[in-house]
Amino acid sequence: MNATMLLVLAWRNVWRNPLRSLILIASVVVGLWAGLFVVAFYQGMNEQRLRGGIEEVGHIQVHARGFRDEPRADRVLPGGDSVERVVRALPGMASTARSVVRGMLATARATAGVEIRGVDPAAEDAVSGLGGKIREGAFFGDGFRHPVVVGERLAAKRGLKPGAKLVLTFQDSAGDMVSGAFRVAGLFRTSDARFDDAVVYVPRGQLDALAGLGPSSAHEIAVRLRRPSDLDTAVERLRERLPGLEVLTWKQVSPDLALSESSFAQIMLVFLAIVMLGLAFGIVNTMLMAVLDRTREIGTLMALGLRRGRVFQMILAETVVLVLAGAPLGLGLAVLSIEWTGRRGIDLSRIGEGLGQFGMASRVFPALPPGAIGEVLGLVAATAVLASLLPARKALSLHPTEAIRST
Amino acid sequence: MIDGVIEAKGLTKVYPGAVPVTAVVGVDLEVERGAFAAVIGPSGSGKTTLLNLLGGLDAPTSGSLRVDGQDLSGLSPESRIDFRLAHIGFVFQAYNLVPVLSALENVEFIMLLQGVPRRRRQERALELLEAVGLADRRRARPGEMSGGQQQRVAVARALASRPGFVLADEPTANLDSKSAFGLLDVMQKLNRDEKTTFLFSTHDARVMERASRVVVLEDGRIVSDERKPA
Repeated sequence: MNATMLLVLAWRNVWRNPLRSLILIASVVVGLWAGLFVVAFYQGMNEQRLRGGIEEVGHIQVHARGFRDEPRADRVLPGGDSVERVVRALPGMASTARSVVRGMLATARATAGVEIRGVDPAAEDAVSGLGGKIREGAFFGDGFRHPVVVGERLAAKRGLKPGAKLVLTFQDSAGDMVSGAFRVAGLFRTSDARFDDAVVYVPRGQLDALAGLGPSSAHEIAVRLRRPSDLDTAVERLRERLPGLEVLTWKQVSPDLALSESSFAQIMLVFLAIVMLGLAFGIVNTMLMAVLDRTREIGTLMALGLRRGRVFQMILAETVVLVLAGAPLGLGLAVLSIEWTGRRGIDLSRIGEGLGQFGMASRVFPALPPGAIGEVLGLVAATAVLASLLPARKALSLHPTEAIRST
Repeated sequence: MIDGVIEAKGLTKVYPGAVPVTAVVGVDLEVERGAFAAVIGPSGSGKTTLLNLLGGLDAPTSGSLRVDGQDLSGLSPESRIDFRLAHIGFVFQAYNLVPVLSALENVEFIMLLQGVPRRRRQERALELLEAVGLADRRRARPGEMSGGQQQRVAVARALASRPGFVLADEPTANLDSKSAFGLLDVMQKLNRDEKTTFLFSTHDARVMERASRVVVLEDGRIVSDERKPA
C-alpha cells in the first residue's frame, strides 16, 4: 500500500467520527496557539529586559583593574582620555566615558544611597539612550549651574521635582567626604525600577572637580555595539589594545541578565513540554477509542493480508493527519495574535509595579524568536508520533480470528 | 488423482490453558480445485477453528496443511499473512468491508496491498463488480448499500487476487432470502467461470443445497463427507 493510499485512508478515517476528531483538532489549535503565543510573550519580555539591561551597562565595560571589587574614586582609567580614544578608534561602537562614585543623596526630607554617574550628555545618550527616557524636565539643559537627573521613582519617593535642590555626598579621590548641591534638571524612567531608584546623573566635569580627579578622568567606559553579534570580536580587540585593563562583557558585568537570557530557552522548553504532554494525552485517548471502535475492521484487514507494519503505519498516519489538521489554524491564530500584540503591546501596568523590580517593562511586545514556528511544529509532530505508539500497539495486539468476530 | 487446492492431514488444534481445549482432532481433508463445498456442524463442533486453520488465520498444534501446494504448518505469522494475501480470499458473515472506501476501492484493496499497478487494479476491480452485478454502484460506500450488495462486493474483493480458494464464513447469515439466493447465484457463477474453489462454513440449508460436497463436523472430527453427484 503506497503512501498516497495510506494518507487517503487516514484522512477519511479521521472524519468517521467528526465530533471526536474536531475536539482533538481544537485542542491542537489551542495548544499550538497558546504555545507559540507564550513563547513570543516571554521572548518579547526577555528581549526588552535584555535591551533595557544592556542600555544600563552597555555591551562592554572598561575599568581599571580592581575598580569593580572596590569602586574607589581614585581608581580611574590610566592615561587620562587615552583609553577613550582607543575605544573610539574602533569601528562599529558608540562609547561614553563615565566617572562613577557611590554616595548619598540628601533632601530636606530624606536620604538615599545612590550611584552617581558623571557623564557627557551626548555620549551617554548614544550608549544608554538616556535622553529619550527623560519624562519630565531636561537632560541637564542650560537651566541650572549644577544640574542632576534622577530616576522618576527615586524622585517620587523623596518628593523631588524639576528645580528641587538636593545634596550629593561621597568620598573623593583623597578619601575625604565631599558634598555638592545640585538642582533636579530632569526625571528619567527606564524599564528597571531598581535602576531608577539607585542611579543619578551629573555633568562629568562637575563630578570630577568635586572628586578631586584630573580633567578627562573616567572610571569606566561603556560601549554599545552597532551589531550585538560582534560582541566576542569587539571584546577581543579591546583586550588586545588595552592590556592591563579590565574589559568585560555585559554578561560578566550583569550575571543576572545573562542568567535571564540563558534560562529563557530552558523555561520555554519546560512550558512547551507541559503543553505537549496535555496534547499527547488527548491524542492517545482519541486514537485508542478509534482503534477499539475498529477492532473488527483491523482484524479483517489483517486477515486479508495487511501486514502488522502496515497496520502500524495506518494508525500513525491517522494520528499525524489528525494533529496536523489543526496546525494551519493554530499557526494562523498564533501569527496573527502575535503580530497584532507585537505592534500594540500588552499593557501589564496593573502588575507593572512588580515587573519593574525585575527590570521588566509594564508594556510587553511579543515577538517570535527565529525558528520558533518550525521548532514548535516539529514538537507537535513528534508528540503525534509518540502518542500514536500506544494505540498502534493496541491494534497490533489484535488477533485476526478474535478481532473479526468482535462486535 | 485429485488436484487438491487444500490438503490437510491429521490436523489438530489444542488451545492451551488451565484446562486445554481440543477444538479440532486429526482432521484429514482434501478439497479439490473448483469445488463448491460446505463445512457444517453444530456450535462447538470445531467448524470455525477448522476454517481458521485452513485459511491460515491460525496455526495447527499438529498435523500438516498444504494450500495451493504450499505447506502452511511451519510458516511464521507474517509469512501466513503474505500467503493469505496471495492465495486465499475471505468472505465474512458481517461483510467486513472498509467503511471509508467505495465499492471499487474495497475490491481494489487486496491488489493495492499486492502492489498491482493502478490501471490493472481498476480494470480487474471493475470486471469483478460487473460479474457480481454492481458496476453501477462502484462509487457507493458500504453505508450506502444493502446487506446483499455489500456481501456481493465482499465476494468480488475475495476474488480480486485470483486466490486458490475462497473461504466464506456464514456468508448468507445476515441476508434476507432474496439476497441470499442472489449471492449464491453469483458465487456459483464465479465458481464456474473463474474456476475458483469455494469453501463455506454454514448453517444455511440453501447453501447446503447448492454445495457439491458437504463435510459434517462434530466434536472436532469429520463424521461425514458427502459428495453430491454432478
